[in-house]
Amino acid sequence: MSSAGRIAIVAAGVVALALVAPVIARLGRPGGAGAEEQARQALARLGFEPAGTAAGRPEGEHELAWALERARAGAAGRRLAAGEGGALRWRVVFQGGGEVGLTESGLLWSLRRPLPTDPGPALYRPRAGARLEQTLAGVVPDPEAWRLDEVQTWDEDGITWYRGRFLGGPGGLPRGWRREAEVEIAGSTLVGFARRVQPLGIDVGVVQGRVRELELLRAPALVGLGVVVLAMLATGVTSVVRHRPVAWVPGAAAAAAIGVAGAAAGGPVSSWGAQALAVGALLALLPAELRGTRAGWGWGAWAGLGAVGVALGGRVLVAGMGGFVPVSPHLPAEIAPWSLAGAAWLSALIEEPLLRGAVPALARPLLGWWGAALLGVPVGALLHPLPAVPLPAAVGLEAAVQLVLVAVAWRGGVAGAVAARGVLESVLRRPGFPAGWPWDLAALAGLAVGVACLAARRRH
Amino acid sequence: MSGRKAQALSALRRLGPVAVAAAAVVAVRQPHPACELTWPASSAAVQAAARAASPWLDPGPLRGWSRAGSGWLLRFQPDHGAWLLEVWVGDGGAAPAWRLRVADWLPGARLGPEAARSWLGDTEAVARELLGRRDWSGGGRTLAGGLPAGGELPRSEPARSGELAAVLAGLLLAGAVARRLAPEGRDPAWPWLVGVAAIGMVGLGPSLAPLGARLLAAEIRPAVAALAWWAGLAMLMGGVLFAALTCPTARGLRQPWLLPWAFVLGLAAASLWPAAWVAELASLRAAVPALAALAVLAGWLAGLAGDGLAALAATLGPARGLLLAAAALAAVLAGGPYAGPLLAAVAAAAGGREGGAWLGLAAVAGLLAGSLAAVCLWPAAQWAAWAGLAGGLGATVLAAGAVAAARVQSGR
Repeated sequence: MSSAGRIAIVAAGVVALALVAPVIARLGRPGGAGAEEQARQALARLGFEPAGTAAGRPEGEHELAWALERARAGAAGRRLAAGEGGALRWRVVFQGGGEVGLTESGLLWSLRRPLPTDPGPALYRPRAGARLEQTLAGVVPDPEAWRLDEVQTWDEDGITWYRGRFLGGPGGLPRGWRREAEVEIAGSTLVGFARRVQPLGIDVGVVQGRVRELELLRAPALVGLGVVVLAMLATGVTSVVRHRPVAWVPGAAAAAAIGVAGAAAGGPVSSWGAQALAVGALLALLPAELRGTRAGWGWGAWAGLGAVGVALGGRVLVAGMGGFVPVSPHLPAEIAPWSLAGAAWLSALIEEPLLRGAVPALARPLLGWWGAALLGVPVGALLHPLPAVPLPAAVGLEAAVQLVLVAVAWRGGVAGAVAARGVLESVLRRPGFPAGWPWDLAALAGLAVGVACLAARRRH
Repeated sequence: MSGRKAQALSALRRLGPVAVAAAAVVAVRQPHPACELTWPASSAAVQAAARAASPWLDPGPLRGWSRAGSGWLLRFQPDHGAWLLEVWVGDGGAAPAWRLRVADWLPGARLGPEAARSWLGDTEAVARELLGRRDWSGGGRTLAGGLPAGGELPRSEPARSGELAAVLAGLLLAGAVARRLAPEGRDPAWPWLVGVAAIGMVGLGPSLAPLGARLLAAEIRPAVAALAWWAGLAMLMGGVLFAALTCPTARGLRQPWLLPWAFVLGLAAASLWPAAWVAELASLRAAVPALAALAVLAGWLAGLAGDGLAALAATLGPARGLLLAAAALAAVLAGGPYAGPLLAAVAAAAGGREGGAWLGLAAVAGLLAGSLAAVCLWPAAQWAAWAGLAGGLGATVLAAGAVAAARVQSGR
C-alpha cells in the first residue's frame, strides 16, 4: 500500500474515532463527578465537616435495577433504578471518617458520620419518635410520605441511642414495592441514615428466575465447547505426528494475550490458565486461511461497531414488541479501566477462536465453511444471553450477534472475529463502569488498534 | 447334505458352547440385593402421591427421577417452577420422606426463634434472611417462611473411580488418533448406525427428560430445565456423530465367532457388576428404543476405545496379549461400575481393528440385557431383559454365521 493510502486510512480512522468517542463517553455511569461535593454538603448539613480526601466508588444491584425496569418499561424504569429505587449508587468515603451513599441521580441513600465525643444530651424518651421524624425530614425529599413504624432505644458506654424505622409506602416505585428508612441518633446527634427498598417478589422473581435459567442453559453450550476442544486435541495430535506446519508465534501470542487479559480482568489464574494453553495450541494448529490477517483484524474491529448496532437494535426491537430487555448494565466486581479492557478481550480471545476457528476447521470437510461456521451460532448464543423476557428473545438477540460475527469471520478469519467481539464487548460493558476518559480509552483501544492494523497492512 | 444345511449345523455347533456359557453365567449370577428393584420410578411416584407428601402446596406433575441411597428420589414441580417438591421413596416401602425447595423471592412469614422451634423441635435453629421471608433450619428439618419444608433427603453417592473414567477417556482419544493416523477401509454401516442412534436419541430427548432431573431447581421452570437437558444431549450426540464420521470404523469382522462370546462376556460383567443406572432408563416410557440407541452408541465408543487400547498394546509386540489379559483382570477385580465398559473395550481390542466395534456392540448389548435382568425385577423389565438376552444371543450367532458363510462363499 502506498504512503498516501496509509495516510488516508489513518486520517479516516482518526475522524471515525473522533465521531465515536463522544458516544462512548456518554455511556459511563453518571453521578460520580458531583458525588464528593454532594456528600460533603450532606454531612455539613448535619454539622459535620468531613476531613481528608474522599474516595468514590460505584455500587449497586443490577438485578434490582432490572426488576424495576421490568415493572416500569422503558426509560422510566431506568430513571427509577438510578433514583428512588436505589439500585445504582455511589459511595463516598472520607479519609477522616464519615461516608455517604448517593444514587446516580443524586438522592441521598445512606449516611454515617463518626460518633462525636459529645453527642449532646439524651432525648426525652416519650418525645424520641417526634425527634426522629423531625430528623428524617432533613434527609428525605418527601417527609410527608413516611410514617414511623418502630423505635428502639438502648444505652451504650453512657450514651443513649435511638433507632427509628420508617415506612415510606411505594412513593414513585411500582405498585407492591415498599420504601423503608432507618434513622440512628446518639444522644441528640444524627449519626446514621439508610434507605432500603423492598421489591415486589414477582418482579424480582422473574429476573432472578431468568438469570438462573440462562445460567443453566449455559451448561449445554459448555458441553459443546468441551466436545470442540476434545476434537481439536485429537486433530492436533494427528497434525503434529504428520509433521504438519505449526504456527508457534500466533499460538504463543494468543496464549500470552489471554494471560494479560485474564490478569487485567482480575480473575484467578485457574479461571483462564488452562484456556490460554488450549486456545494457544488451537491457534498454532489452525489452518492459516482460517486464522486471518492483520488487515482482517483491522476491519474486524470496525465491524464490531456493526455488531454493537445489531445488539442494541435487537434490544429496541424486542422492547418495541412488548418484551423486556434489561437497560441498566451488568455491574462488574472490579471497576478499574484495565478490568473493562481485560474482561472484554478475555471472552473475545477465548471464545472466538473456538467458535469461529475450531468449529469451521473441524466440520468444514463435512458441511462446508458456512455450514460449519453456523454450527457455532447455537453454542455461542447460549453462552452470555441477557435475561430478556420471553426466553427465546434472550437467545435470539445473542444469536443475531453471533451471525454478525460469523459474517466477520468469513471475511477476516478468526483475527477479525476476535477484534469484532472485543470491540463489541468493550462497548456493551462500558455502561457498567464510571464515566471518565480512562474507561473511554479502554473501550476505544480496540478501534484504535484496528486503524493501526489497516494502515500497516501489506500490499497483496 | 446341501451347503446351506451344513452351514446351519455348523452354526448350531458353534451356538452350543455359547449357549452353555450363557446359561452358566445366568445360573451362577451373583445376587445384588442393594441394587435389585421391584418397582419402576412411575410406581414409586404413584405411591408417593398417594401418601400425600406435602399437603401445603400443589406439587405439580412428576418431572424426573434418580436413584438415591436405596430408594427413588422423585421430583415434582409445577409449570411456573417457583417451588420443587422432592420425595424419596425407599425400596423397602417405608414412609416417604420429602423436601420442599422454594424460590428465594417468594414471600412468607418471618417467624421468631421461639415460633420456629415449636416446629423444628428443641434444637439449635439457624435462620436465613430472604427478600420476603425468613427460613429456618435445625434438627434435620426446615421451614420456608412459616411453611414446613421437610428435611434432608438421601442423595446419590458421588461417582467413585474417577481414575477409571479418565482411563476410558484417554483410550477414546487414543482410538480417535489411531484411526486418523492409520485409516483402514471404511465400514459404511457404522456411520449410518451411529447417525440413526444419535439422531434417534435427540428425537427421544423429550421422553428422556426425566433422566435430567438433577437439573430441576426452584426458580427454574421445568420446561427450561428439560430444554437444557435436551440441548446438552444434542451437543453430545453431535460430538459422537462427528467422531463417527471423522474417525471411521474399519470394514470387516476378522473373527466373527467372537461375537456371541463378546455378548456372553457382557452378560458376565453384568452378573458381576450390574449397571444400577439402567433402572432409571428402564423407568422411561421409551425405554426400549432408548436402550437400543444407547447400545449402538456405547458399542461404537467401546470399539473406539478398543482401537486405542490395541494401538497402545501394539507397541508391546508379543506381550500385547498379556496386557489385554491384565486389563481384563483389572477391570473385573477393580472396575466397579466401569467393569462393563472396560471389558467391552478390551473385547473390542482383542478382536482387532476390523470388527472391534461389532464386538464392542455385542459386549455392551450383553451388559445392558444382563443389567436389566439383574436390577429391574418388575415384570415388564424382566420380559424385556430376557427378550434382549435371547435376541442378542441369537442375533450375534446369526450374524457370525452369516459373516462366516459369506467368507466361505467368497473364498477368503
